[in-house]
Amino acid sequence: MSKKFGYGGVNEFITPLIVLVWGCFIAVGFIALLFYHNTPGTRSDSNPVWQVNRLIELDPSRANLLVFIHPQCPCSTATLGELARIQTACGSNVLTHLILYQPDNVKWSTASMMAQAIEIPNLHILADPKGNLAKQFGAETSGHVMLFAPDGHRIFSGGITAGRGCEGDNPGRQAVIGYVNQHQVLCDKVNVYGCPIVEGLTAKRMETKEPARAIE
Amino acid sequence: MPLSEDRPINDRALELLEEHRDAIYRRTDRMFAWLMLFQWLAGIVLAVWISPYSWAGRSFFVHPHLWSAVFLGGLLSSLPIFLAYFLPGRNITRLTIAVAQGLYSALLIHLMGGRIEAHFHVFGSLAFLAFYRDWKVLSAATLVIATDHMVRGVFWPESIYGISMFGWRRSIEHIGWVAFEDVFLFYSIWISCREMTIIANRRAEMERMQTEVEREVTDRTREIELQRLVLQESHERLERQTVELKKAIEASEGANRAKSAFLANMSHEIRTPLTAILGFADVLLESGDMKKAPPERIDAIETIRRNGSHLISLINDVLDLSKIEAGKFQVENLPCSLHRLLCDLRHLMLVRAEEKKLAINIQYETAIPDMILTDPTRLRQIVMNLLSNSIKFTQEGEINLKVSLIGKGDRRQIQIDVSDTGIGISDEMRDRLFQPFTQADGSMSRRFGGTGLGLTISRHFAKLLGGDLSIVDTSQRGSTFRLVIDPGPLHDATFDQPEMLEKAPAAKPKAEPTPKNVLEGLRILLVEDGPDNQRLISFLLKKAGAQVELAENGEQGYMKVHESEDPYDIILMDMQMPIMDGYTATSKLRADGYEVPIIALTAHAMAEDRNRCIEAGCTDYSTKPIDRTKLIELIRFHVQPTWANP
Repeated sequence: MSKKFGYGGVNEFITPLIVLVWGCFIAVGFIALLFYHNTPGTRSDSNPVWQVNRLIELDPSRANLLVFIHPQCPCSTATLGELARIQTACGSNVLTHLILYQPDNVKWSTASMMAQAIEIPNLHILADPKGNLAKQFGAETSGHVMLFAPDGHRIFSGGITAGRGCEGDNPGRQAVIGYVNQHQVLCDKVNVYGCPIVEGLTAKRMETKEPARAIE
Repeated sequence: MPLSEDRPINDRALELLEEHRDAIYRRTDRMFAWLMLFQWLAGIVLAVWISPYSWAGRSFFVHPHLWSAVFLGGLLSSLPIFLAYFLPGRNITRLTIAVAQGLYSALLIHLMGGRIEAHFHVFGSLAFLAFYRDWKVLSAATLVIATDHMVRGVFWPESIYGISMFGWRRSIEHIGWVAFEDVFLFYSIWISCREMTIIANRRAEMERMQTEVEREVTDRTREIELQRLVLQESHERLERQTVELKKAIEASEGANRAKSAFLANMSHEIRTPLTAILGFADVLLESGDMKKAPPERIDAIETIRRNGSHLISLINDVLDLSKIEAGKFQVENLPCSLHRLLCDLRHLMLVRAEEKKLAINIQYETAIPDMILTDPTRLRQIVMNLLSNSIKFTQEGEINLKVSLIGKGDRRQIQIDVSDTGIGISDEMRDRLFQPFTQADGSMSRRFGGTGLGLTISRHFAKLLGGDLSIVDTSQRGSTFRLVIDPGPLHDATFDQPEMLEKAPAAKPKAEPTPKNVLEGLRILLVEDGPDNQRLISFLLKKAGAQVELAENGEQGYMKVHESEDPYDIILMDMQMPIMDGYTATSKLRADGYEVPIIALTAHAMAEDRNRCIEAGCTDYSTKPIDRTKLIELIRFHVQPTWANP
């Protein structure tokens, strides 16, 4: 068989060429993958204070943390993993709400994610049926975390994962823990990596030309 | 190319090493082809499991990770599989596989969100790539992995480490762990390659040895084939010689038979006239008053008798030698007293010895058995011959017989030394002495007579008796002959040492002339063709008182037996006659139920002749020349029961 595709003459030149082309395609593929990987989701930082709503009340005695999640987003698992580390580190110094986008007439299987969320200490889970709460606070991408001071000022806004679905040390987690435990503001904005929570928001953001990325 | 004797062994070893490496490369290429396929499918399954869709509110799309697993993974696997299938064992195939495997680690790590557990794929990949036993492959994969870690660690640390923090140190640490594994893998590869080299060298050496052995086997086979051909030729030559030898033996046996027949006929033809000569000499000596006969006449008759006896003796010797040479001579084993035999011989020979005033002494050195098992006739013949020679060649002095028992246990033998004080035998004649027809000197036969057969026959007889005859001393003061014989088993024998000189037994009275009328009243039929013998035998029988009727041949004899009114008391039948011989006539008579004794008379003196006569139906046998006394005693013996008590 190798004789059929002999390694002499022209093939000696063609084969390395094929390998080279193959390598180029591979490089392009990896670059595209990395590009996607490092492309953050859209966000809105137009509301720097607590938005009064019917579902959640601000706790003036401690910091308040809101975590917006699209239950079907693959990156949510990593966000919950990081949230568990934050809750472990902060304990009851922070009041944490996990807000799940739960549109009507849709039955998503959230059993595994709910099981993971229940295991996280001091976590309040509530559904956001039409995504109004997310819209109200300006959370457009799943995994968006907002930390508010007891007086309602927003301390931090961004993701607590370093990339799409990536668990591990990241500036978002450090910022949250730093403020809650030590009242230090390490950074107030980081990129959010995840799926859009509510469809259509991204298009609207594009129309208003608001910045989609946080300035780190 | 197999190893030949002219080719350096190192070249062959390198060739074998390359073959081995190529086999390993091809085998590992195939393994990685399957691994690539498996990894591709595994990546797809992983992507489907972890991140199947990307969502936007209620809308969802296929997640880019799944597309990456399908297309980028497929792209990564395709070329290595292609090359492994179409260009197995090539350098570029291995290197491509190494690069693809390193990149596959990167892809899987990425798909798993940079989880640290996914990095185990790197270590597994390197271990698998070490199967190639090619440091270049391992180096290429390591380079890809290190570059990936370094670049992504710096620019996109979260994609490979899951963190967004500074990546230099972590990248270096990861690369360090990879290098750590590489150290062992490189060492393992080095050891494997060294073992492969050793194996190749050994195989090359074995091939060399095999080549040498094959050459040796070929050479040996050629030599064996050559030897086989030589042997075959020798065998064929031997067969031809065997055939020729058989022909020669047949010819020799034919000649021997012809010689025996000639001797038998000669013996017969000589004995027949001698019967008449000696018989009528006896008749002359007994007829009339011999005291009144002139001494010259008596001397002449005695001379006739003596020469006739010598002639008979000569014929007997020739017949004996003929039988010995033909291997037909057989000896008997009968118990006999050696002492008595020697005494008889001494007395017998003493007559001749005293003519030359010689003494014959018998001296027993040791005790000897009373009875020994031997052929007394032949032993007597040997000793008589030795004594006869001693007397013949000794002019004065004495003849001594020293008898002793030598040896031990079952190897005991009788030794008889016969010494004389004669003329002796020269050394140069000793070896020729036992050859037939040879005497010590050609002049001997002229001076002393004799045929030169005596010692030859005696030695043969001695050997047939389990011993030998040799010359011990041949000085000019005389000769000593030593006879050794086997005495047979001596377990129950009693030993005795007789007197030095046994007193001579009383000399037998000289045979009286046959008394008249000892055969009175007997009717004898003499069947004999020779007129001289007819006259002689009928004269002797009639003189003894018998009635004799004659028949000239077997047919007449047969007719007379049946035609005679008075039955015959005995028949004397010559065996060789014209018209009908004695054998046929006797057989016919026996076939008719005729029971009267028939005594064969024949000049054939050999033992088989006697057997032939007995087989033909004869009652007994007597050779010619006729011994008158013995013949009459034989007749009396056979007719005694009926004749004595009619």
